[in-house]
Formats: sequence, C-alpha cells, structure tokens
Amino acid sequence: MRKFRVVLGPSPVHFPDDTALRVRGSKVTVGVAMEPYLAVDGLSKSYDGVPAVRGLSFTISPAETYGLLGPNGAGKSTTISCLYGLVRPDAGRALIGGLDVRTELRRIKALAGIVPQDDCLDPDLSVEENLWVYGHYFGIESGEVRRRADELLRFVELADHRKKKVPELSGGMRRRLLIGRALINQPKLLILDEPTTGLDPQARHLVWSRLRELKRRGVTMLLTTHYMDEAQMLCDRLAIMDHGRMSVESTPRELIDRHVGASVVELHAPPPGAARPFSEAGIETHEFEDIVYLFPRDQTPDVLRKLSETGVAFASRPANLEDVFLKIVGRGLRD
Amino acid sequence: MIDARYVARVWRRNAVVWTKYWLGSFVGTVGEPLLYLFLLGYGMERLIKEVEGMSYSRFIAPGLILTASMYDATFECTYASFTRMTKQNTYRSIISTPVNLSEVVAGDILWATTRGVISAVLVSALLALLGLLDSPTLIFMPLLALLCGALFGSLAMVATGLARDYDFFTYFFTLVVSPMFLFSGIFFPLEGMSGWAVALAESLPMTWMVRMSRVLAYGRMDPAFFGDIVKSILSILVLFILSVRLIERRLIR
Repeated sequence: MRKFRVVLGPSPVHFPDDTALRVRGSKVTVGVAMEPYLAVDGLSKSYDGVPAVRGLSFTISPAETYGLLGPNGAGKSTTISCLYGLVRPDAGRALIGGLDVRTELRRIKALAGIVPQDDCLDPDLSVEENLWVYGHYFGIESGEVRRRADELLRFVELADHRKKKVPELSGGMRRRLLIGRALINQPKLLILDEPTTGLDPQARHLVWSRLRELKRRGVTMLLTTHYMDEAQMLCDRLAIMDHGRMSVESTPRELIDRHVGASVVELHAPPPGAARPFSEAGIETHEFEDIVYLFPRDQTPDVLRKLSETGVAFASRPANLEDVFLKIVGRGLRD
Repeated sequence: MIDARYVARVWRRNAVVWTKYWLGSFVGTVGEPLLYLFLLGYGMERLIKEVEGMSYSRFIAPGLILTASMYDATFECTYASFTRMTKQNTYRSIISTPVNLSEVVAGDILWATTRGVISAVLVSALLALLGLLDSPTLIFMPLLALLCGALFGSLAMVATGLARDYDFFTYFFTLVVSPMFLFSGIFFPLEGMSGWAVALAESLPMTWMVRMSRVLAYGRMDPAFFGDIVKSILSILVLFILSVRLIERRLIR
C-alpha cells in the first residue's frame, strides 16, 4: 500500500485515485479527499423537552455551498444558531475551520458572516454607519472599515443610499445591507438564514447574483431556504430536514434523479380511478387535492400517449427539486 | 470572559448614536434637577428656615447632582437597552460578531455610566455657578457619579433582564426608583427618624450615594464615607453578574 500523509487544515488533501483505505473497518475509496470546512456531528437540541434537532450530522467542504431545506419547525434555524453560539446544543459538536464551537466561539465568529432571518440592522444608524459600527465590533480599524464599506455598498448596490436611515429602506435594500454587513469581516464562511424570503423578483435575482459571485470567490456558504429554485440554483449539495433529522442529502440533480426522475406528469382534476392503470403498471403516483402527480421515469412517452387517448386534462414538465421536497416531506401543512 | 476592548466597541456604538441627539438629551438631564431646585427648593425655603445649618436649596443640591446620574443611567439601561435587546435585535446582531453577550451588557452599562457622569458634571457646574456649592472637593463629583451610574445602570439592567414588556418598567420606576429618589435623604435628613425608617433608607443604595455626595459637595467628611464606597462597589459587582445571567438566559437558549 502506498503511503500518504493527512494534512490537517482547510487545504485539500490529494490521494491517488485508486487509493483504498479502511476507516473503522469499512472500505472507502477515496478520490480527492477534502478536509471539511464545517463539520456537524450528532447535533441535538431540545427546547423544554421538545426536540428541535435530533442527532444531525453533515459536512461542508471549503468553497462549497450547502443548503438546509425543510418545512417550518424542521430544525434549520436551530442548527445554524448552534453554529454561532445563539443556541447551546444539548449534544454533539460542530467544528468550523477546525475550531470547536463550544470552546473557540470568539474565533469562529471572527471568521464567519451571518445573515439572519429577521431584520436586525441598527435602526439608530444610517446605512454606512451600520457597516462601520459592525466592522468595529470585529476590531477593524476606521480607515480600513470605511474602505471596505465603500466597496460593499457598491457590491450590494446601496452606494446611492448610504446616508439613508434604516427605517427608510425597502425590504430588498435591508436584505442587501444585511448581506453587505455580514461581509465586512471578509468571512470564510457565510451563513444565510432564508436570504430571499419576502423579496420581490428583482431583489431576489440581485441577491442570487451576489451570492454566485461570492461562490466564485471561494466563500463557503451554508444557507436555509424555502425556495426550491433558489436551492437548486445555488447549492452544490443540500439536505432536506424534517422533524429535526436529515431525510436525504445529495446534489440537487442527483436527488431529482433518484427520487422523481426526469419528468413529472400532472393530471388536473381527473375522474376517480383515472390514475389507477398507471399505478398498476408500477408507476409512482401521488394524489393531492385535485391533482394527481405521476413520476413515470422511462415510461414517459408511453404514459403521455395513453393519457392523450383518455381525454383527461394533464401537463408534462421537467421534474424539479420541489417535487423531491414534497415527496419526501409530504404535502400536509406544517403550522 | 470579559475583554475590555470588546466592551469599548459596544460603548462606542452607543456614543455614535448619542451624537445624533445629544443636545436634546440635556433637556431632561439638567432640566429636571433644576426644576426641583427652583420650584421645590425656593418654594420650601418659605417654610423651612434652615436644615443642618444651611439653606434648603443648598441642602438638596448635592443629592440632585446624583439624581440626574441615577435617572440617566436608569433610563438608558431600562427603556433604551430593552428596546435594543428585544424590538431592534441589536444585542443579537452584536453577538453574531466576536463580541460576547456579557460584553454587550457591560458596554451598555458603561455607556449608562458615561451618561451619568456627563449629567453630574453639568449639574455640578451649574450649581457651582449659581453659588450654591463651593467646596473644592466638588471636582471629585464625577468619580462619585461613576459609581452612581454603574450601580443604577446595573440595577436597571437586572430589571431589563426580568422585564417581559415595557409595562414592567412602570412598576420598576414606581416601586423601586421613585422611593429611592424620595427616601434617600435628598429632601429631608434621615437622622432622628424611627429605627425601621432609617433601616429601610439605609438599605437603599441611593442613600449611600447622597451621603457621599454631601461629603464632596460641602467638603465635610462623614464616618460612613469609605464604607459606602465599598458597599457601592460590591453592589455593582453583584448586580452586574446577576444582570448578565438574566440576559443570557433570555437570549441564549
């Protein structure tokens, strides 16, 4: 067996492509092994006896964008709050950049940027002062913080509004300022809790473009979202959580292929029993309210031909992450 | 756990905000003690010839200096801090940076203390200009205001840690702050009152403050002076630690 050396730290460790090694007795084939930038292991948290997160584990590689998806109450916000000390986990641990959240919180917070779900801009300060004062919390000296603030105001397109008071800003401007503020310490890890919730389409697209730019610059990102198009576009990998546990984890493409297939056929208000021949033929069907969803995979042409003969109203479209999400989590309301 | 550099950054945030409305803040700070001095002081002088060998206005003047400090620090760490902690989420956003929650609390109390010192300086200067107080030891009043501001800032922060809503502060002011103001020996001497009344007054930190303020304002030593300093410092420590505990319990789950 060839010798190899494991280097601790964020730099990638290269193994020969055919290297096989044993990890706790199981054989693992390693292509390019990467020391994760963020590693969560067995994280658990209950609030007054009600479990919010139950034994969650995942890792994020350097420069990777990772999404946490799940219905309300799945434990997404609790998980990310554990990463910067707002919530103390009951069990499990989290390492960021090799630092333990329990003991090195100050150092972790110095290298992370946090875009929280709720608006917590300082309403007593103007747009530019929000960046300056926030930068001072990190100990960045005045000249440098002003230089970075100028750059960030251009980056989030708020340079023309720099003197405005926070209460005068629109929802989209506030969110952009929150993102700009989270970048003042030039973070290695950006944590975004629902970064585009409540934004109009223009504002969402601007936020997405900026997040893609940060991704190109090599910023590691962890984001939660309710928008599947957002997750599909931004995330290299994602996890769908439910009831505090991880249900599935993979790349968006692989999740769609594995759980749904390439296309989805929707039957709109079909007569009773219209879907039965398909389910009897082994095609996966899901019924919800007045729509039946068929996941015909390689039988798609066949299914479409049969449907056009029956006269049932239907539509065929490419499968997306939302299909995966609803299949895994179910369609019932969570409130 | 507490690093002074981080406390200073929180203090600085509050100072930056204050520079936007500082002129307005002086109206309450200086206006209120002057109202008491002119309306109560000169009004009561028609009934009271002298107290402890001096005019009534001169008798109440030292206490009014620290009254300004007490109210400024108390308002700062009740309504203002509570708003930052709850409505504005300012505390949450600061603790997303390398600053710890205990440093946020300390920074707010330090800022409240600063407000208290500024008020004491202004009111002392006014009283000296009016010729009511003339002892050279008056220049040490800001040091006493430092104690006074830190003590009432910490006490107010405990109230903020306990408050569920703004109504709580109505009770706090009516049941704690106002009795402290009225029953601490500012307006009438405590000597010669019945035992339980003296014991009650002695349990109020403002009583210690007022006694110390008379020492500095008149340049006349009091045997309780150093004991009062020690009691004040111990109270600040206890109240500060308690307030940090209470606020951590609220914000970190």
